Order: sequence, then structure tokens, then C-alpha cells
Amino acid sequence: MAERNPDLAVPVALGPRLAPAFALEAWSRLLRFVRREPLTAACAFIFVAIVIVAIFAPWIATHDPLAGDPRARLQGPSADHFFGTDAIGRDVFSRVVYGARVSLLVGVAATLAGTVIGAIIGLITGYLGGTVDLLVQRVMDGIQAIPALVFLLLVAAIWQQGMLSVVVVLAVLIAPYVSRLVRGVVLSLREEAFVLAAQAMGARPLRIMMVHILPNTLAPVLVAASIIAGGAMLAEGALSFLGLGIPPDDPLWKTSWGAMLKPENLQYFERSPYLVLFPGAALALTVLAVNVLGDSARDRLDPRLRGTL
Amino acid sequence: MRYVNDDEESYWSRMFRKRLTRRQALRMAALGGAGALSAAYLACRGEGPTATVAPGESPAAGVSSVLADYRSRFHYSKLKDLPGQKEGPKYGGTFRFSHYQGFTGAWDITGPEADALASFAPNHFNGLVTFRQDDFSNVHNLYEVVSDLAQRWETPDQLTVTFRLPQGARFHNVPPVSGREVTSEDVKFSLEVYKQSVAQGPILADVDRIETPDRYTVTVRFARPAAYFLQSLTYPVFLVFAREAYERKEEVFVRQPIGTGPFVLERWDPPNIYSMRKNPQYFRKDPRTGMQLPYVDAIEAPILNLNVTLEEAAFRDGRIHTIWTHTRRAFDQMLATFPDNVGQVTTPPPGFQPYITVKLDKPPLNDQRVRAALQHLIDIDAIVEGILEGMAGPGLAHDFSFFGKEWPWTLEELQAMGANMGYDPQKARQLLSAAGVGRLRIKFMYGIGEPIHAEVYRTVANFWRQGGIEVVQDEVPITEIARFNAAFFGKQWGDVDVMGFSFAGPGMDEDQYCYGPLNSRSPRNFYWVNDPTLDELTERQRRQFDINERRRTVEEIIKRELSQSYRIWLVNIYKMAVRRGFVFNVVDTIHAWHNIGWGSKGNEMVWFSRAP
Amino acid sequence: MTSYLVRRGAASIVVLLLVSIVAFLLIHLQKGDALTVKLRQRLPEEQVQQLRAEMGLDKPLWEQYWTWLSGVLRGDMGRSFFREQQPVWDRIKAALPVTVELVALAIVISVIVGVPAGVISAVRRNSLLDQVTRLFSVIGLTIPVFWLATIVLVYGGIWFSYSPPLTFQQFWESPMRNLEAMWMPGLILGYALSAITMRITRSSVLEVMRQDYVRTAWAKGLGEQVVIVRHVLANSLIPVITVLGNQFVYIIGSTVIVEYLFHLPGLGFVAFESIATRDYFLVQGTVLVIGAMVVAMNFLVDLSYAWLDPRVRLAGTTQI
Repeated sequence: MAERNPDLAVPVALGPRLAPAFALEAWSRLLRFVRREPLTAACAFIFVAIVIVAIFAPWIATHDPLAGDPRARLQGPSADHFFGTDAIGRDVFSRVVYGARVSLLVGVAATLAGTVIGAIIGLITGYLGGTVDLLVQRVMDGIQAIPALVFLLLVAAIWQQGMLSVVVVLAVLIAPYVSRLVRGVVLSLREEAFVLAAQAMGARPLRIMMVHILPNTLAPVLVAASIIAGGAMLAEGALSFLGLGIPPDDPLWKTSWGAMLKPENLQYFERSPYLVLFPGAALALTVLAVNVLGDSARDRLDPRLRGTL
Repeated sequence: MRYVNDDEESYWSRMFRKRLTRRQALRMAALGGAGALSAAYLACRGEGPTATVAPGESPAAGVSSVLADYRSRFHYSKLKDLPGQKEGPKYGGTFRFSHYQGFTGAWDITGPEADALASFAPNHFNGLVTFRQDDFSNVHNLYEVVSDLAQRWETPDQLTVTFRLPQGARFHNVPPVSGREVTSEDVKFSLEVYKQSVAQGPILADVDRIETPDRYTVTVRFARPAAYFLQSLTYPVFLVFAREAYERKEEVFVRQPIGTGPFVLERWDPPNIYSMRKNPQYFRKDPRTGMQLPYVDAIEAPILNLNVTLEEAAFRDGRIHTIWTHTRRAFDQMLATFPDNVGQVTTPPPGFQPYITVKLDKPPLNDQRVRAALQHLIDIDAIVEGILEGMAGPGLAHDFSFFGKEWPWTLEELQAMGANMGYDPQKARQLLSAAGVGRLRIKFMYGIGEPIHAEVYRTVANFWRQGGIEVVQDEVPITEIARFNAAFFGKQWGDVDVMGFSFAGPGMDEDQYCYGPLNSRSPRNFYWVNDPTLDELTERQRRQFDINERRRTVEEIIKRELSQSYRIWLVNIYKMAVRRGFVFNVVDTIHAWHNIGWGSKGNEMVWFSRAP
Repeated sequence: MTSYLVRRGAASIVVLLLVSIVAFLLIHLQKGDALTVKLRQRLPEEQVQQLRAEMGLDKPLWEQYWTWLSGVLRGDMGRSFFREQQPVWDRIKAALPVTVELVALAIVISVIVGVPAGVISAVRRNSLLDQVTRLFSVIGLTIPVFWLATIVLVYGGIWFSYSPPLTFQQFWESPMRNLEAMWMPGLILGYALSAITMRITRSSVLEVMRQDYVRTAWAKGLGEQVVIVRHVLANSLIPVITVLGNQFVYIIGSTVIVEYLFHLPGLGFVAFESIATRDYFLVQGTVLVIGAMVVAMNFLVDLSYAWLDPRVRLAGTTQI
């Protein structure tokens, strides 16, 4: 399906002789892309910028995100502290910078894990059907019948709070959605001529699943995954907001945006609005960028779906 | 979310005018967002750094000028000449303030939650004796025992106290007690139940037997002299209840507080409302004016659970009459909301302050030098001036009012007593290397139920980190209180090395700050303290009736504790309360895990000079 | 149809059983129990054991679960460990209307706002109005609910002297007081939801407008209003209903935060509090009731699938 879109056609067989021409071609293509889809380009830019910020956080941050001067608490933005300081005098800008790592990592890791698990379950149950399908579907229903936040509250204190437990729990919550999606596609494909033909030719189920069915599920899964990633970031934010996500002042991960928005900071909101505005805006902007990019990916992968946003 | 096919380039879609794409819509979103952000950024920029402590010399030694200023401007003595005060108390009105849930269980004042119920139950019950609570009381009055249910008491010798009950003091008119008169039998029964209970038991440990020579006389006989007893009895958990209610514990006792107290419970419906109305047959009269109590008709307390935003909004529009503020800035703001508002700054309660408990038997923390180093790495002045905006002193969970002091010890005074306090990273490094500790890794668990305390703990973690210690923070949100309690009270610390805890004591007598936490046999020793010297000293002060002798022993205890750095002291935060101008006798009676105004004790004294 | 209903009903019961087992296991795996929540001091070990035995916490897990489940089957959800051993059902009964009202308010607001906005933006496609409504929708999708609620609480108080009432009253006790407490949280939830409703309505309307019968209606020369209302709107609401049903779990989940911030004593609040205090029976009861609501909603959605011609191709989600 991707071949339909000229922008995405990847020049695979380019020899070294053509390299400069390819660079020029890529550049003009980029320009065309920016001109034609400025918003996607802007969101791609934002997203890339956030990724860069996350990767190079130690070099971008101006201060140690954990250390603060208690005498310099709740200061407004200044040349020294771009986003001001928080209630115990830590640099908000540096904390927002480090928060990007947590959001992105949780979004990517939870989505990846949840999508892979969900896709495998959906593929198998959809193709095999029968009792296994029925049983697994009920388990999935069970997980989905508990609202995510309640589920997260329930598991919060079982393990040590931390990145791993947040990712695992979010993955468990994501898997049912993806498995449903994949199962639906598999069910509709199972009776398609090319699958029946493969079966008639004596192909083994595993081969049929991998070669004939899996590729066809990729587009909708990819699209759903991009939007799920936004949801996962929001969920991590909500969890940290309630004090149950990534521990604040974690030596490795430093802090998350949700943790910076904690309700206890409310009392300073009036005198230091930036304390809550910047991390919140960072989270909203990231989710926006991810959603728009997901949308754009959907348009490219499946033009029939274009324009639903 | 579902995706619906809608965007093929068809005749019909082209029919609809004005072609713009949704990309443009999204671009507008992005631009709008960026615009709002930059506007917010610019708006914020105007606010410069907030000056916390004005430079200049301190009027009182060791006390910042800000603190000295607030301490004198909002001193209790300034409450004497307020408009409306001269005419004296009036009756009527509904007193409203924001409450917190406080206890999770039933109204079991004999159970493990009795300490928490001290903020609720005194509205409905009375103890035998109490402490003074009105606008004119201050810490000097703390060791002044006044009558509550007992009209008089005598101490003929060191082993006997005799309480005389009034005639005609009645329980609430609620079945099964139905307004019956209180007798010495009720007192005896209550004290005997308390002797077996966890919260009250330790204070009654020296009681040998309780006798009731007649209907209105109770005699308590001791096995050993108990110098701390009468004063400790003012702690409002020794509340007198009726036997017939207690005997039907599940159906009656835990459901409805039936006591002699000033208010009859109307509704206890957390997280919604806690309301009560006046007990029409209350026996107690105001010791100052001789007028019948209580003054107000009813109390309505919305349960906001320390939701600061909601609380401040409610005070702003007059829906609650008093508020306890967390920061000086908020205090100033709340004070400005109504022209007649009255503020009061009172002493920090020794029983409620952020401090740190150390697992004393775990190497290398069992080495005094390591603990001293941890203490020296903390810049208490910076915490006071920065985080607490000047409104705190150095911490120490001992009762300064026992020594006749109005204000807590200053850092210099504590250092003079041998405290290893005062910011000195150099010395800390020396101590650590002397102890042979190279790299120190500490797991630091603390609760964040009290936001301002959480800020203090986080700052401490930062100071330790700056001192080269690897700190792993384990912040326990209020939702994890079970985990926290299991660790602190259940002594299941796991791999935790130090714990931040806010409750010390609690106590109405210095004994509860000495014997309670420091004696190795005390059930309230949550601190791993096991020191024969302290065992002997804390036991000795319990038997000393001469106040000066006892003070000397207590001072020795404090010196011993400080020099050993058994607990790491941080700050003691002054309390700042604001109330509407027509409300009297109220300051400090709520939220107060403190000597003056122990929780709800004192609500019966509140009066309004005019209708709100 | 009947056999379908029976099968679905049986499946729902299995799901609820699974929900209750999951909730039971998870809450019992958490550190600390209801007794440790009550502790303010160190109890002697024998006293701890005795109190645990009184609370029934000393029995093996399966026995505790079976006691609870058999109670539920008899219509008794057990008693809370706190609050004077209040029956769990009493607590849920008081909290349920709050959450139902909040969710209903959110759905009503989202329909009132989202459906007309979606129709207008589809009909006036790519006009300025369309752009504005889509902008509104995009923001609704990306702003975290807890952040929005925070900002409303603080700036509402400062700029518009808005603050929610301190005590809550049920709708039948005092409708005005009740709505005073509910409208803002309802609006916040409704906004997030209306963003989704608007998106779906818009795409659904666009799709219907391409159908032959609509084309015929235009060709017949019918007025715009007639075509839109009678032909387009009526036929494009099915996917909207389906999506609203699917968003139900998400809204219930969001009520936890909104009720917590706005201090509303609903099911989300009860869930939050009971999990925090390890009030096992209350946790299980609350999760079971929430699960039952979700399952019932899914059931209704499935029915609408079975009855109506589904024109929805793919299922996915934005919010988890």
C-alpha cells in the first residue's frame, strides 16, 4: 500500500554514483513535504525536537534536575532559570527536559510491548478460533471492563514503583485493544480468496499467518499504535499525577511531567503558574504531535481513511 | 476510536465550499497553543524572584527578622482588644471550618485509632481534666491543669489522686444511655478499659487500682509515683464513656459517640460533611466567664481533607470561618480577604514536625559519626528561610514549654546542648571518613500527606546528594498509607534506611517526648533507640515530683539524645491561622496535633460577636 | 436472537467473575492491609493476630474469596472494615448516582456540543467554522483531563470566583446544589468526550452524504435542512452511539481523577479511597459494580451491532 504514495517510495537500488543526486532529491522532497503539509511537518519537527531533547537531556538541561537551592524557591522565569524554579528551588526547565525521556520511553515501550503481545494474541486467536479464542476473548473483556486508572491504582503498590511496572501495566492494558483490532482483520481475511488458495495449496497455518495475514494487519496496527502511544503518555501522566507512576526524584529517570503537575503543587499555582503550565503544555504538545503524526501515517498507509480527524 | 472512510475526492465532497484542509485546522491548533504558551511565559516573566527574608539584623538572637516580626505582630496578646471582645461571649451561630477525614474507622475511642480520634471525639466526650483553651492561653498555660469532667482533684500523697465529679453531668440523650447521669463507676470503667488499650495504656501503666468510694468520687492509686500522670491525663484521649454503650460495641459504641460532651453528632459522612449540634444539657461552664457552654449552636465542617485550593476558595468567599495556612504568603493572602480578619501565629507544636528516623541497628548507621554527618549535611537555615519563608525554627520533638519557654530553642541553643546540628559539609566529610565510610547509599522513605513536609524531605534528600551520598527516595503518597504504616509501626522497614515521619509524641507532657520514644521498653519507641543511659534517665524523670529536678533530668535526656543523633532533626514549623473577625476563642483548635487546641478540644469555647 | 442474547449474557457473567478475581488478587497482593491503615502505634503481635482474625484476614485467600463471592450471590457484598462496618452496598448505593449522573452529564454535554458541531463542520466542510470546531476537537483530545481540571479549579477561583460547593447533595435532595457541584466536572469530562463525538459525527456525516439516497434527495431538489436532518443525520448517528459506548470505560476511569479533584463522593472516589485503605470488600464491590456497568454498556453496544447495519470498519482507541 505504501507504494501508492510517491513521497514514501524508498530508493532502494541507488548506487554510490547517484548519491549526490539522491541528496538533492531528498532535499527537494523535504521542501515539497513542508510546503504541502505544514502541520505534519511542524509536528514532525516538534516530535523530532522532543526526541532530541530526550536523548541529549544532560547537555540541554541547564541545571541538575534534582538539585535545588531552597532559598531560590518559586522564582519566575529568568535568564538563569528559563521556566523559573519549583517549590524547593529546582530548575523547572531542566526538569521538563528530563521529563521528555520518561514520557517518550513510556509511550514507546508500553505501546511496543502492548502492541506486539496484542498482535500475537489477536493473530492466533483470530486464525484458530474456537475455544481458545472464546476463552482469551473473555480474559481480554475482563481486563477491558476495569477502567485503566482503577486498574493502575490496584497494581500500584504491588511492585516497587518505577518505570518497569508502569510500562508492564500499560502494556497489559494496551494488549486487549490491539488484539481485538488484529483479530477483526484476521477474521475478515480468513475467508479471502488468497488465504483460501494458500490453504488449498497446503501451506501450514504459521506460514499463512506470517506471510499472508500479518502484512495486512500492519497498517491498521501501526495507525492504532501511534494513537495508543499518545494515550499511554497521558495515562503515565495521570498516574504520576496521583503519585503512583515514576517516583519523583528517581536517580535514573529524574522526573516525569505528570509528577510535576501533582495536586500538591496546586497551592502555588496562583503565584507560580508556570510550575504547572510548562509541564502540562509539554505533555499536551507531545501528545498532539504524536496524534497528528499517527494521522498522517494513516493517510499514507491507507488513503481511504484520510480526513477522519 | 473508529476510523470512518469519508474523504475520497468525489463530486459530492467538492460540492461543499471553501476548500481548506484539516492540516490547516491543526496548524491553527499548534499556532494557538504556541501563542498561549508564549503569552503565559511573558506573563510569568514579570514576577521576579520572591524575597524570602529581608536582610538586616535579627531582633532576637538566632531568630530571623521575618519570624520575629510575625511572632510579635500576630501574638496572642494582640487578640485582647479586638472589637467585640470587650462585650464578652454571646450565644448562637453555626461555626464552619474545613475538616479532614483523620480517622478511617469507627468511633472507637478505645481502639488503635484513639490518637487520631483526639481531633474529633472531644466534641462529644469529656476527659477528667484538660488544659486551658481560649484566646488568652499560650504555652505558659500548658502545664496548668484545669477541670473538665472532674470539678476538683486532690493529691494527698505521691501514690494517690482523688477526682470529684459534679452532680448532674449527663450523657447525651441518645439510647441506650439516654441522658443518664455520669457517675464514678463510668470513670472507673473507662479508665480500666483504657489501661488495656494501646493508645492510652502506656500512660496508665503505673496505675495500680481505681476505687469509687462514692457516686461522685474516684480515687486512682499508683503502684509507683507517677509525676507525669495528671498532666498526661489532659491529653484528650482519656474520654469518659458509658458502660452500656461500650458493652454494645458493634451496634452502638463504634457508630455513635455518646458522651457528656458539648456537641451531639449529627452527621459523620466523609468525604462530605461532619456536623453536630449543641448539647442542650451540657454541664460545663466557661472557667473564665462562668457562662454556660457551648456558645455556638452548631458546627458544620465540610471534609476537604487538606485540599488547599478548595479550602482557600471557601475562606475567600466566607463559607468557612477559619483557615490554617501552610505558607507565610498564603497567610498574608488569606488575611487580606476580609477587612476584619484576624491572624495568629503560634508556637510550632513539638508533636507534629518533619523529622527523620534512622534505622539505628543497621551498619553503618549504627555509628554515631555517620548519623552526625547526615545531620551536618542539612542546611536547616536554608530550609527555614527558603522553603518555609522564615516561619520555622530548628526541629526537636521535646516540649520547650516544659522549661517555661514561650518559643522553641534556636539553633545556637540546641548546639549548646550538644546537637550535631548546623550546616558543615566539611565536618560531615571528616566524620564519614573517620567512620571509614566511603560511598554511602541511603534509601529514604517518607510520606507526602502534608505537602509542606514533603518539600522539606525532598530538600533534605538534595542536601545529602550534594554531600556525595547516593539517595534513593521512596515517596509514599497518601494512597499508600498502608505500606507506610506497615513499615513505621509494624517495624517492617525492608531495605529502607531512614524514614521521614511527621508525628512525634503526641503528648501533653514532656514524659511522652522522653519515655515514649526513647525508653527501650516503651511501646511508642518506633525509633530503634536502645540506650541504657536513656532507659535510666527516662525512667527517673517519671518519678520526680519536683519540677526543677525533673527539668534537669529531662535536659540530660535531651543532651544525650542530641549528642547521639538518634533522630535527625529538621525544622519545626510555626502555625499560622486566620479567622474571621467575629469569631473568638478559636485560633489553634483545629488541625492541631498540638498542646494548645488538641484537635477539636476547645470548640465549645468558640463564640461569635455578631451573626456572620 | 435469543440464543445470541443468552450466549452474550453467559459471557458477561464469566467476564464479571474474571473481573472480581483480578480485583481480589491484585488488592490482596498489595503491601499492608486494612489493619495497618488503622495503626497509629505499635501493637503487640498477639493483638495484631487477634485483630486480623476479627477482620477475617487470617484465613487463606481462596477461602476469603469464596466467602465474599457466595455472599455476593446471596445479595450481600460484605461490610467495610471502616466507617462503622457500613455494608458495602450502602456505600456503593450512595456513590453510584453521583458517578452515573457525572457520566450522563458528560455524555449529554458531548452529544449536545459534539453532534451539532460535527454535522456543521461536515456540511460546511473546510469552512472557517469547520476549522474552528476541529481545533476545539484536537485540543480536547490532547489536553490531559487532570491538567484541565487543575487549571479550571485555580483560574476559575481567581478570575471568575468559581469554586465548587464544599458539601455534596444528591440530585433528589437539592437539585440546584447538586448541579452547582456537578456542572463543571461534567463539562470537563464532556469536553474531552465531545471532541471524540465531534470527530466521529463529522466523518460519519461525510460518509452518509456520499450515499446514493442522499444524492437522490439533493437531486430531487429538497432543501438543505430536510436533507441534512431527515436523511443524513438520522443515518449517521449509529457509529456515534457505538463510539460513545466504547468510550464508557474511559469516562468511568476519568471520573476517578475528576471526583478526586472536585471532591465528589462518587464511585471513582470510593475506588480511590478503598484501594488506599485496603478495604478489601469495598474494593471488590466497587470494581465489580464498575465492571458490571462497563459490561452492560458493551452488551448494549453489541446489541446495536447485531441489530443495525454496522458501517464502522475498524476498531481502535485513542484513550486507554
